[in-house]
Amino acid sequence: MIVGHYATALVATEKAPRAPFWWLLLASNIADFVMMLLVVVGIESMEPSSMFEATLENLRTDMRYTHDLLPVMGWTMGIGALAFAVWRDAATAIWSALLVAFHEACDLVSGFHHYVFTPDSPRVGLALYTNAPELALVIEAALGVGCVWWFARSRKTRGSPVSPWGKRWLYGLVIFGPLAQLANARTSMSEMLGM
Amino acid sequence: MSLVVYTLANYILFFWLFNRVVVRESKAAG
Repeated sequence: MIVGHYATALVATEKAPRAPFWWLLLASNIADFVMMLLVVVGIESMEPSSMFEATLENLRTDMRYTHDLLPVMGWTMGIGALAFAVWRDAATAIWSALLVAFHEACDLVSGFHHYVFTPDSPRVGLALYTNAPELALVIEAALGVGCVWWFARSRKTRGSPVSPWGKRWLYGLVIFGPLAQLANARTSMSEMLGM
Repeated sequence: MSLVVYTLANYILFFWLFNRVVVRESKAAG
């Protein structure tokens, strides 16, 4: 889930208007940004590592420090504390933390399976990326549409409605992002390209 | 490794697009 997570920042920006939007976007996906860094240095993993071989269905991940439940509690509190230290604003801190926690909640529904902490602990999540990747992408698009709709309604209510241009872009992003991945849900790029 | 690069590129692209749209809307709203 990429744009689904980013879309949740639209809710946060209405609830924490003093927070820079770029920060809320970062908080909504901080777990994945750190995960990619940890994959690069060899602490976490995504296999197959080739973009031409990977599909949502065949991807096997180890995200124990960024996506397992216990570390996520730490990330949630840490990001909230960092936001408060920088901006001295309770709403910014709370919504930054909530974005991190909601990232995990979304992944448990529509993502890979995770653990309480390390593969020796109980497994959590529906693992829809593995079991039903198309459904996972539809759920992501639905989450995104819901967030954009709520954002537009909130802006309209407080007298600064989103322009038609803005609505087209936001709805386009949250629908196009997940649906563009449908082709790659079970079929690798190398298969598509006949490589 | 190419998967990480490809994935990161997607994250950065959508980050930039979301930020661009919302910042522009916020400026327009004053």
